[in-house]
Amino acid sequence: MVPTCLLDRRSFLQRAAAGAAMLYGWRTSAERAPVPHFTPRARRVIYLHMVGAPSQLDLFDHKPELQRWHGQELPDSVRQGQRITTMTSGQQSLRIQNTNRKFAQRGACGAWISDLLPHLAQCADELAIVRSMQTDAINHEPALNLVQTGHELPGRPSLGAWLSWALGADTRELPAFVVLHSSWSGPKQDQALYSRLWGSGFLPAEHQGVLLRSQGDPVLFLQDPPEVSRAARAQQLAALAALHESARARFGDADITARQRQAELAFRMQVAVPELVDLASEPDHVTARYGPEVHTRGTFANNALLARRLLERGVRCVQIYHRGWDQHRDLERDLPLQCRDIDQPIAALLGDLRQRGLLDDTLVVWTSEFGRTVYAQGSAGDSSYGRDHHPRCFATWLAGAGVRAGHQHGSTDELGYNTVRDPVHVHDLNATVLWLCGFDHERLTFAYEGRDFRLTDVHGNVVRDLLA
Amino acid sequence: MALPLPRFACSLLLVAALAPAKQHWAFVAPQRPAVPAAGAAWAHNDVDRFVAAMHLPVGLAPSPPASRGELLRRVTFDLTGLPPTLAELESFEGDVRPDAYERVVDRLLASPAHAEESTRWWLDLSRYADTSGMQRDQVRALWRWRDWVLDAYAANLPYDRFVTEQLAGDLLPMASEAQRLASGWNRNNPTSDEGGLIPEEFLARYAMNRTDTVGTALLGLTVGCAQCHDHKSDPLTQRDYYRLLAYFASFAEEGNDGGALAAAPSMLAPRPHEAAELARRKQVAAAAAATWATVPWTGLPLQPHGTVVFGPRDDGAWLAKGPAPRQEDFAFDCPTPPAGIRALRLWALPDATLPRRGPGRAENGNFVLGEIEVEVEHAGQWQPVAIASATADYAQPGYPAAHAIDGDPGTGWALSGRHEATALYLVFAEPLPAGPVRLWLRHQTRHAQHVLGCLRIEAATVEMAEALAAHLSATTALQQYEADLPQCMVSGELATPRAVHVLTRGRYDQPGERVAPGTPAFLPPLPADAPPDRRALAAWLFAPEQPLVARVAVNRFWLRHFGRGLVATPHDFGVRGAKPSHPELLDWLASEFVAHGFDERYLHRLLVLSATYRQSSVQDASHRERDPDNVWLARMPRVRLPAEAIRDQALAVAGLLLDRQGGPSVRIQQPPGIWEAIALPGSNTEHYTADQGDDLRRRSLYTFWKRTAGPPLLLTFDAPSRETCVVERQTTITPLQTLALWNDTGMVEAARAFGQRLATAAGDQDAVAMAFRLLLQRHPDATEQRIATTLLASVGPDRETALTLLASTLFAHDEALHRN
Repeated sequence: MVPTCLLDRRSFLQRAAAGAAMLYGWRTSAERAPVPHFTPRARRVIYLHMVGAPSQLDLFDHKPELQRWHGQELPDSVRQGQRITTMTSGQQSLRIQNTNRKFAQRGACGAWISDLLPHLAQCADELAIVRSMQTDAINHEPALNLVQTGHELPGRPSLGAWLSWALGADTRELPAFVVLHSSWSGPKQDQALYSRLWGSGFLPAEHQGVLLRSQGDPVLFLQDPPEVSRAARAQQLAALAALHESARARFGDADITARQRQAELAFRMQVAVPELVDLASEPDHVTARYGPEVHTRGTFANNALLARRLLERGVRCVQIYHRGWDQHRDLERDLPLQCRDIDQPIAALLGDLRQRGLLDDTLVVWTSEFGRTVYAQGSAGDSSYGRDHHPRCFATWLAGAGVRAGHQHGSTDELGYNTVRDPVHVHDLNATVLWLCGFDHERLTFAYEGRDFRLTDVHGNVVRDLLA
Repeated sequence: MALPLPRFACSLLLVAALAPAKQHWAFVAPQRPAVPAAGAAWAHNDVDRFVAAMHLPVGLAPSPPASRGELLRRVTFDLTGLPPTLAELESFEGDVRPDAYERVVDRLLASPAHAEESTRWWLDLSRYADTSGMQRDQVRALWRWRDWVLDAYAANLPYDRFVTEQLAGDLLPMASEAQRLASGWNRNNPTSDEGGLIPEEFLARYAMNRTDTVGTALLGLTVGCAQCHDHKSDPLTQRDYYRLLAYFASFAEEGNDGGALAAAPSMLAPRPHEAAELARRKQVAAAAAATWATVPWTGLPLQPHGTVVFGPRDDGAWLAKGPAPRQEDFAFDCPTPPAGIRALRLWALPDATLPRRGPGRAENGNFVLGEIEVEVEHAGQWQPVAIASATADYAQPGYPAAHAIDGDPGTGWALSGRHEATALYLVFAEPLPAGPVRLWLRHQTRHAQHVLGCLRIEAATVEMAEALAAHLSATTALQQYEADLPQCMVSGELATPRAVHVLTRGRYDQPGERVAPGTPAFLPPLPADAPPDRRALAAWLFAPEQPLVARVAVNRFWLRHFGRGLVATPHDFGVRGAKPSHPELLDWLASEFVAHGFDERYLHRLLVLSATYRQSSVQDASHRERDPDNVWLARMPRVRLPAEAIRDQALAVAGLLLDRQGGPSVRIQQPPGIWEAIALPGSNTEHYTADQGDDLRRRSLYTFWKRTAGPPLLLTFDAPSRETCVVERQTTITPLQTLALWNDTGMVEAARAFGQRLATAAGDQDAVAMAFRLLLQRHPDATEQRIATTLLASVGPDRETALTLLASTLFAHDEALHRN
């Protein structure tokens, strides 16, 4: 008998891979399928990340007092000595910048949404809007890590990897966690993305997000070379199966069978993925809803429709990244372009999910890594002004499964600088997402390097007010 | 019903239960245990006696020896990361000498490929990559450090020196170039060039990454757990952590790396052939400079002519006063020059009163000297004289000295970025005739305020055109050669160390107690007179009473050959790490390692020559029943090949692999759009272009590693992201692996070449046999022969196509992805 102290994760994992894991298709070597801690509201998640940080003051956080404050110096009583980035810390003055957007109350819930998001505004009653989001980091790279992996330093598993590990895949043809990158209309000098943001960290590698690419093969290495026919691949697969059976008898190693199953899954993916990205089967009235860019691969509209198709095929978590929101300058010029990329497609996606009954058990999250400052970067009033990074407050919304639709959560001071009511840290958001998926964020842990790790590190509280 | 305990009480109980800290086995120095008497009939060396001693209690007996083919595949991959060649296989199978296996092992240990495979392991621990890892993720120069590691393994540098030179090579007395290069190890941490980052925050991160790496790689401790609070299970305090960090906190580096190729501190790191050429060029330049230095120059007594107010400086130079003009021509007169002037030397000089110390008057300290004219007064008339050449010690690219005499007032000589005394030489076609001399300096280019602000003029009356040309051409050639030489980031300390504080909750902006460099209090103390630097840390790591370092190293060697460590958590020897399966064997190996002067090759030889290592890896029912994880080593484990070996094997059996060590990293073929999809526009790693020719056939060790989008083929087979120290890679089985083996461009080409090689066999039977021999080092059995020939028959008449398909089928065979 082996002493239990010697049973580390890996050996446990290898043994488990042999048996039960076979049933789960993609999940080959997941050691234990974590059992939900309570009945899940959401069976799948769409996570929309606006990389760069949209200005909440021009979209969701309506501050009429800015008219009066425009051009005045940010009072020290508001700033309270909080750190600002070295992009504006050298600036002579921090002058308040008014918004030129028109705000109105939308839907029965009366949510304030600006004129830059007219389609989304019509869905206001589906959304729970948080205007009191907070984060710790003030630069993109650590802030992206924090919101996506629960830690500012690289190396932790991403939210999607946790969900893949926890929920498993509901498909034999696709991975559980799929990532989509979108083209964008704002300036191209924008924030980078990092594959670690959808990485699996120390979770088994099959839980990393699989990038569905908009150029070349939609999945890496998917396309057979032209000289290899589908029939030839089938012959190879059959030969490989026979060879593996023989090897299994020779070496007595159950992993050999696992490898054969994965080869067969690969073969199925070669059909399933091209079918997935081919929108020919979508009726015109559906594609029209997502707007004219829906047929262009890589656009946010195309990705939004693909997200729905992925969910329909059993994928658990779809993450869409949209870059170009880092308006340090020319906010007036670029923010409307960015909004136009996403506005109609998001509204279409929500409506499409609703019509198909999918929104009842699908969670949709729209967020960013932080917000933007009320003071101008550059000169306030100058037409080329922008806004700097702001971790003290920003806006996020949730919709769908288990979400308290129409709820307006948290508020900021009259300058939109500090949160004054119901702050929601990014850890709280992540805890809430896990809760909606049936997991207590404090109990969903993975043992690694002598510690039980969580998505929320040692922080986070479920935001009960956001739950239906 | 019992009330639940509050959470903090639970964790207190947990800590109490897990904390017999002082006595934890790994924190007590190993004693050399006696070798057990067990296994006399089976053992090849003492390793086996320790292993055999554990077989009896668990009711297992050793497996029979592996076949020669299986053993050769195993030992060749473990020692070199490559498959054996057909010739090596046949030679070993035919070698009846009793020491045939020893001969194989010694051959492998002496091969450059062994150094390459050892380097591959070390690169994972060292988190080596070819880009910075954050924001623009720009190319960085550390491959010369990687070549140092290759050289060190090739020379079998003892582990204590290997580590000491990497940790503190820059601080060693009379540090050699190679030792400074070794210290590049500390610089492998990811760095950022994000605009707006707060330098203190990132400097703290960099130091943390280094500290965590030392903890994991050398001490086998999860020290990073103590960044925010005292370690939950090990007796490592938060104060200990920051004392250890203090060794790594004062590098002369910036928080923002600026996207530089070799962010300071860095060094010029020529390869041996380049160093020889550099020395030759330096010699030529020095000789030319010595000849040039013999030319006598005399200062000219001058008076300014024109509107700009110049005043004399104490040292005879002339300094501009008053507001800088937008554009300006001015002149200096010399009423009584020496006879027979052949050349003038115009010094552009820095001065504290000029913007950024000058020597120009523009905001950036630059000037653009548009035209220089020389006149001599004859019979009351100023006559221009012909200038044969204008050359300079330095010129801004695009602004050569010759532009100052080209007759075009819009072009000129400039010095952007150089704020030191710089000379321009004017050589005349004929010695100047007698009479007063006037020198015009015209600044009429489009660059406002780019006017020379401080100058001195000297004259020479001897012939020197040749010496000048020789001097300048040698200097320029040297500068150009140096500019193209490889650089490398290295370690280097600030003159005054940064203050290091315990950071509350690990936050850089919440400093607590200030601490000095030091080692964890629960481990043996530093000597009282130890200096507060990395040298002392290195010495402490290899002090006789050090309990962890040798154990952690031999455990890693064990992992390399036996598929799992004697301590199954090679990154964690702490209280929550796994207990050693064979504690006495671990300690005995550690003491052997120390007794043999930290000779790594001796250890590898000892392990792979053991009878334990030579067992078969076939599992039977009793193995699965009694020891499914193969803790007791009554058989050898099957081990999945690392990503690099999977690609290298394909290249090798296809006959494509190119054997060439070291050099800049290679961009292998990868699917289009991998970098472009995520890169920050304007980054120098935005666009990927694969290298051409030979380089594509080199070992995967040399593959260019972009941290934010690593090489997809290697990542698919569980290569790490190289952001933090990784001791043991994961092994996964995913569908993407099959897709990569079948459709990656490089693998497709390898399969085609392998197919062509197989086509040289007489018939299908022979081709199948050849494929198995080359790829798996064994003959196919009848079933396998039938499966393979059936495949060949079913996929069509073209033989080479069919054999290519057989090749790619076998590439995806589980056995080809393992060594058994």
